[in-house]
Amino acid sequence: MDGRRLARWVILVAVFSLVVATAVPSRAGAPADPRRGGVLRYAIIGDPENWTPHNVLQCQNQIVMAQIWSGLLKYNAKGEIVGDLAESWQWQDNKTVVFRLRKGVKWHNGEPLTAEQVVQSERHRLDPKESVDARFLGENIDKWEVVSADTVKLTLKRPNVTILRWLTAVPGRAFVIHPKWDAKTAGRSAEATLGTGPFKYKSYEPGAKVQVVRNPDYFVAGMPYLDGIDFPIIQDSQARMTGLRSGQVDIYDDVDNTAAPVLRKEQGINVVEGKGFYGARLLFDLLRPPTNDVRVRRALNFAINREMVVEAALSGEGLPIWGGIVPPKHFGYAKELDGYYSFDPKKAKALLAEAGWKDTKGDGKLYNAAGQPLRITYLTYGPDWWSRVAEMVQANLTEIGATVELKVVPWAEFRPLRAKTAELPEGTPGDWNIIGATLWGLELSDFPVYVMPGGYNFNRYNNPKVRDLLREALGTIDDGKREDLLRQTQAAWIQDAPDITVAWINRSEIVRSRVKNFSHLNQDGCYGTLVSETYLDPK
Amino acid sequence: MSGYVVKRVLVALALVWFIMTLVFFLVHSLPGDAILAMGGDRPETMSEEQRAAMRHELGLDRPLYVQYAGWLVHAAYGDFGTSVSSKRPVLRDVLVCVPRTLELALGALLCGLPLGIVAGICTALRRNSRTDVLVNGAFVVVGSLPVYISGLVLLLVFGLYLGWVPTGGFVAIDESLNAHLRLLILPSLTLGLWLGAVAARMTRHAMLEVLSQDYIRTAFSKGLASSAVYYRHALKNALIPVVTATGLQMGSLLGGAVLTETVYTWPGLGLAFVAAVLRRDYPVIQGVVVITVTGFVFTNLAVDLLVGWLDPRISRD
Repeated sequence: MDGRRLARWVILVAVFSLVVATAVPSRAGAPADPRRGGVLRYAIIGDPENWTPHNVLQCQNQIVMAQIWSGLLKYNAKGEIVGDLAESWQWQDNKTVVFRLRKGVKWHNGEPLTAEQVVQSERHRLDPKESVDARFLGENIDKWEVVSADTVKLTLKRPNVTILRWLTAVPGRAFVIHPKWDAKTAGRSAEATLGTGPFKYKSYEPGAKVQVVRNPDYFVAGMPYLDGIDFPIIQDSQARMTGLRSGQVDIYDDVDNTAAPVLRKEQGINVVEGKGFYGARLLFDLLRPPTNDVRVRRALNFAINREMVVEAALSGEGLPIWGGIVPPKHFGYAKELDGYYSFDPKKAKALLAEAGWKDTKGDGKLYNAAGQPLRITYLTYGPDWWSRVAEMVQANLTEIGATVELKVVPWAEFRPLRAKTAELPEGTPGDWNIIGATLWGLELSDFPVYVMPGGYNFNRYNNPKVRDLLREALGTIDDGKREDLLRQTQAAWIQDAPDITVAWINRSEIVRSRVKNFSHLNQDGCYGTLVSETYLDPK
Repeated sequence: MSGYVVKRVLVALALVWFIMTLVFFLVHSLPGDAILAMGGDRPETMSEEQRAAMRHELGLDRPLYVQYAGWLVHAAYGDFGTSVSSKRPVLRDVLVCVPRTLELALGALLCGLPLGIVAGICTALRRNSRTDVLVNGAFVVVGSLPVYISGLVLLLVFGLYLGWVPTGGFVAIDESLNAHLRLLILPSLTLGLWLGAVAARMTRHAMLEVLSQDYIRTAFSKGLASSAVYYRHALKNALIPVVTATGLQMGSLLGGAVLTETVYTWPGLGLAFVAAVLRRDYPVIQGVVVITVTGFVFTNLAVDLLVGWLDPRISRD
């Protein structure tokens, strides 16, 4: 072959390669050859409590609704916020963000989605009668506006860059609903349950299951791969596990920590887990003796063998927290705080002695100068990992000489008891030295409710420095500066020892091996799962 | 006979009213808050004003005696209020569950009763034999096991390890009759074995008692075939206490259905009740109890009337 012919072939091949590379859409992580078709069976723990996307409180609701409805934003498999109905967004300043909407998005009945409908839906979220997030959003959001046919603008009252989290469908409840959506009829028919999500509503049988079917006009080309998803309602965790092991169910979440290690060993079953921002946290009542003394609080922190708690109470499915409250590999992780606490009963007793608690009677228990025992009252919820953690903590504190009265109550009783503490008049101690809680909040975005006065500040924590640092962090767009502020917040927080942060807890889903490309989102939402890109392949 | 019927009906109605009142006040004395229980542990930002509005909408902020009176009057018309969690009418949600639980009870009866009666007859006729000891022993074991345990054992053996039947769930009849019936097998068997154990013991005892009567000896001495004596003369009289006992077991059957439905995720009244208790969904708890108790009371009434018809001496008393 002569040189000119060779050159022609090289150019031809190069051009052809360029055309192929640009024409074929590339999706990071997209499977090479996903099988299309099939119905995924995803067990949920209860009936959707309602079909009001902006009033959803239970996780099983969010998983179902996230298939039918979309939000402006969503989380991807890496736990990053990405566009959903919004193609892109841009901060104009630290209080204004503009969203450019995707073109060609349709409702399930074929109508086009408009910018006006998006704004109308977001305004619906500001209505206290219609939305559980209305109060928080109302405190932060000034207005939504339509800028053009494909652009909407959000203006905040005060800087809060983590507002984007509240605009994700899960966990943000930011589903964009149809203007004709009606709470009385939604969930009864496809016509009354219109969304723009990858799946359409098919049917709902109370107590039995929810069914959704593929949306052929979904705005992500070629997706979803599945023909549909069935959500059988299985309340009992053992029944869910048996259903999965027998092949009747493909996925179930809300996995008890004790089940994951057992199921990992079974063939045909995979444990999909993520180390999201979810953990066990024990709040001190900062007004009730003896936990109103910071030395006592620090001492109790040193008395807890967190490694043992993770092994015994969480079956090893977790990571002890010995320092800051943001987990490793998460934005805001304060490595410099690692090792602030350790399991050191001697140090615990020394701190308690400093605070006036000593074993004056030689019976192994600690007493103050008046002869009163070191009595700790502890309220938690059970049966669940909460009560198992509580039993381990009780054992650890008893070993250093405290007398721990543990009360474990069902959820419906626990929440009101806990809420009552937050609502006590200023300066009034509660009935419990320790109250169980969970640790949530990517980028500490939920933490304002824990440090500001109000219904979620169960231990009445009140440190203006921490509040100001957190507020400043939430209002800082620059990632580097914001992360530094979050680390400073944690450093100030840990000095006060307002709680015992015990462990971050692995969240996982159990899936059959025929389920492919299923992702656990490393965020703190309702078990954070991504099903729209999932497909079924028996191989 | 008509006086007997009227009296029994009035007693049944009074009993239902008493249970309704008891349940209403017991349920409202449960610690906890239905509205607060609805959220998970996320700091959802619902304000106390929103919660107060929800309580007002559901009538939970009225004095208890006002709530009771209102509920009683509405219940008489079949209106049991609105579910706190689903916001749907309670009656609608509960009535969906009723046929599923009745199906389960019927399945249990069909599985357990014939098995128990046949076993009872065999063991009575082969008294003190090896068959008697083995069959009796098996039924004592089965009858002693809590339904939750026997259900799990059956589920693991036949559902999981052998894979002969599905392990649980529900498919509507109109979706697939075959799948629906296959899902009913294990739960019916679980309850049915327990019922069969009771029926077997009752039948054996009753048969032995009847077989010791003079008229049975007379029938044999007249030269009647054994089968005629046993099945035409003895069994009819032996069945009277069995029918009564089975009727009395209906209450336990419905109670056992709660556990069975939980094990097999059969969405009947039992499962609805458990979910409602955990959520403190008072209207649903009350609705399920009222419907269940009414069903039980009137089933027993039907049994009493049937017994009265079988043995006219009872209705004359």
